[in-house]
Amino acid sequence: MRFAENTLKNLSSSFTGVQVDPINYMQATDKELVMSCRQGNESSWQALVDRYQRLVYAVPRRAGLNEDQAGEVFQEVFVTLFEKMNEITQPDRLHAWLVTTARRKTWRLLSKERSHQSIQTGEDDEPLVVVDDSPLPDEALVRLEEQHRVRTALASLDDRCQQLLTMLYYQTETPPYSEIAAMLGMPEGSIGPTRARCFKKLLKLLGK
Amino acid sequence: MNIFSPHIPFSELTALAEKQSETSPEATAHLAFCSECSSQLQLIRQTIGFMRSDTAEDAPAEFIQQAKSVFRRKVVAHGPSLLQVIIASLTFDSLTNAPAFGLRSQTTAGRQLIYSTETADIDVRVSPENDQWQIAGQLLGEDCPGGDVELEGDDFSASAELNELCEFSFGSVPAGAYKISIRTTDQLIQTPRLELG
Repeated sequence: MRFAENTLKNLSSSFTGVQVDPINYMQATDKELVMSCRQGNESSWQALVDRYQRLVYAVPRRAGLNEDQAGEVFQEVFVTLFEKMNEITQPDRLHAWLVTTARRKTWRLLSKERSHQSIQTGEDDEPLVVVDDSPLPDEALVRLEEQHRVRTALASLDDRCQQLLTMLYYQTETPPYSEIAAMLGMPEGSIGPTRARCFKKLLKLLGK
Repeated sequence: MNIFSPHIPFSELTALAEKQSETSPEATAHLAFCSECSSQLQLIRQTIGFMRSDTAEDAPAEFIQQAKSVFRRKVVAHGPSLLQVIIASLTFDSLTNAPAFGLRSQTTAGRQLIYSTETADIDVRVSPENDQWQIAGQLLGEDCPGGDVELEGDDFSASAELNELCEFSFGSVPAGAYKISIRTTDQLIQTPRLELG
């Protein structure tokens, strides 16, 4: 793949007005990061990988692929993203593009595995137990995308809010408030109001 | 709800969403007719649900690293247009001791050529190898960023990687006119065509 200069210029002109430099990688929008990647900024590429690694990896894992297979899909998705960087016309929908691409590559790998296994076993053999035919229903992918959006918005909050909401909602078991208060160095009575303030900020970032 | 606002305070909604507090009869009645408060409560519950059900794991660190390196690998391999393209000029030729672009086939001894840019020099040595040629060279500069080298002719082309000393070599090169391109992470240095044979 080549970052064709003409294509770059043409696409760049469609997004005029987007300030990409200087860039705060944590706060930058997907559109800003994509624009910056197109201008050859490697740090923006790394920020995109960091931002989406969990989501892209979750798709093949959710379909039942093992770590190595999921790794194969993961690499293919990011290579494709790099190669198609100039063709993405809706950078603000990058999460959906990545999920769709990861799903296609997962399916492709699954069907390759199946055909390989059927050749090995032959028609008369017992059918092999393979992963579900439809391991990635739309609703599961939509949920993954939403979870990603929330996590990304959370990462944009200040440290205190991040810590508090993580302790409250991302732990298998929510620690007692006394423990949270001690860890965050705040009175136990402040947890409720702080949580509300943090939640308000989170919903604002989510555009809700 | 108080004298200043007809709605349930946001902090109370978050507590309700977590089911930390019993919904009072007033709040229940209010939620029944206030779509603003009930939809906000629903939104908070949904968001909490997304967080609590998010069991996605980080990709292994080596996968992430490989994905990050895609940018550099592809840039080096294919040379995006954003690289600074520099045409090096011939500043020394041991054969003529002056800029020259031809190398006669009857030349039997090795020949040294130096191509220069503002920031680096390329030392190229050409020697006959049976009926063909060997080209060896080195990118001279303050440091060696790594990269690859392409030898491009009309009928023959080859590529090589810069080693840790920024050296490269091509063997069994047939006669022809060749351009040498060295791609580092941020530069593409090209030489004028050098004629062999």
